[in-house]
Amino acid sequence: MLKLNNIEKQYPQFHLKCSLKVPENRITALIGPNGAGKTTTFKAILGLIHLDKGDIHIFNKPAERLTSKDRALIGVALSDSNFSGYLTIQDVISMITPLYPEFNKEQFVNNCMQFNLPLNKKIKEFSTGMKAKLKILTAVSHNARLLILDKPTAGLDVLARQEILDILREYMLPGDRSVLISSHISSDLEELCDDIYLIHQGQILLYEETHTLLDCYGILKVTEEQYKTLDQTYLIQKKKESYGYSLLTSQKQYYQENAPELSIEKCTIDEMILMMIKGESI
Amino acid sequence: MKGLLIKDFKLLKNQGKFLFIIFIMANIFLFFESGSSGFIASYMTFVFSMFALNTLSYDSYDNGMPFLLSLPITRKTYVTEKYIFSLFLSISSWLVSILLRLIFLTIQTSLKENVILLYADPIYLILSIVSLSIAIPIHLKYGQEKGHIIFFGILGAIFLTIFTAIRVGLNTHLLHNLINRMMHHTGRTIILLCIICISIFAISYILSLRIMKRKEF
Repeated sequence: MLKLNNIEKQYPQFHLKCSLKVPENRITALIGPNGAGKTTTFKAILGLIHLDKGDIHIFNKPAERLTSKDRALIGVALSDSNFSGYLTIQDVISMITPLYPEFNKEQFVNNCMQFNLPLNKKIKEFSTGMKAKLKILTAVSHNARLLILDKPTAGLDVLARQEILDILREYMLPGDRSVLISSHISSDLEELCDDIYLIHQGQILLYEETHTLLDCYGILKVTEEQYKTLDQTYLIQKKKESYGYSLLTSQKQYYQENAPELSIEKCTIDEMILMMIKGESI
Repeated sequence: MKGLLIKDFKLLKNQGKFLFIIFIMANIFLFFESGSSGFIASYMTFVFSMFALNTLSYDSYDNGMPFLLSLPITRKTYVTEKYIFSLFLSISSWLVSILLRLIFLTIQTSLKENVILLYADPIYLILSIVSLSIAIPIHLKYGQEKGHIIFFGILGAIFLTIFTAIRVGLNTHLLHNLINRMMHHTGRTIILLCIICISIFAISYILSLRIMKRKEF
């Protein structure tokens, strides 16, 4: 569905260099701290910046050769960009109807009413949550096969976030669709995404299936003495702590069976990010 | 293209109050001050034409451009639509201003005299289109704030140049001769000005396409 092959973009103080792919019927997350390169990657996919190297394929076509018809099959929600605030939702409907051949006006209006979005109020008068909902509802309104969602839940309370995640779950039901999503809220991703890319300083540090990450990865908390005698075959990262080290492993069960005396905790996405970025590789 | 045109007309409609006030004021001036009707007509044409520039600002409002260009439109379509929209606004507002002027002047004097008076009116349309041709690429390149400063800076420089040329030219017979020739050949002069205007418009379009092609959002 979407493939990035060794794309590179050089800025004065930042270098993006990454590859990733989003297969059909998958929700793939791109996670990382602020300034890691998530938004730059999204901009590259959408052709908003020019690449120095590499290529991007969408629907098995080079991105620069996509026709308007192909682009109508992509739904987009960007974190800091929206329709002009001087338009109303009614204006947006008139505008996007000719742009998207498969735009479902009736469903879109129903969804807007369900989410209490006023049709005749200027968008600039909307709250952050209302704007975020409008972006998502627009992205899923035209039978897109691929959604590109840059921090769609940023700045939202737990209720609004849950509503947006529900929209995305419903969107995936037909089975021929894919989503690339970025978010700072890892709990959203844990329950929504099939796989995860971790990006830091413009480079992909880790790729893993979400269930593997949550089921098989773990954090070992060990003293310096324990660390010296520990089998390090399945350890990925270590981070210095006051008590010794915390260690990231991709084989939690191995250590549970072979070193039952160790304190081993489940790895969350937040902890994995922390270990991968703050820790050092083994 | 159609979606973008609809968007700009919706933005125009949403700013209707301001433009409606201009329209009403123009009518009042025309009714009471037929002597300055030329100024009113040119002002109306200019204000309505410049609304095309405002749509560029509205598109950029709250960092809207990245999202707009993520829709199924190309950068070329975006630029082309802006030029079509601005041309439409210029021509339609100019035609309305001429019609109004003709109606109000005819009420007060005879039709024949006024048709002669209107010979000079194409210059208002030409000036509006040339102004837009200068402003659009500048706004695309530098954005709203910087763009406004640079645009008015350029306009100021042009007027200063013309003013200086007139001051210098008045001491010679060159300018008098030029004006006399233009007055005697109004038709030819307007055709020449139209050709210059179309050329500037075309160059501006090509320049805007290049700016948009290189721009990153």
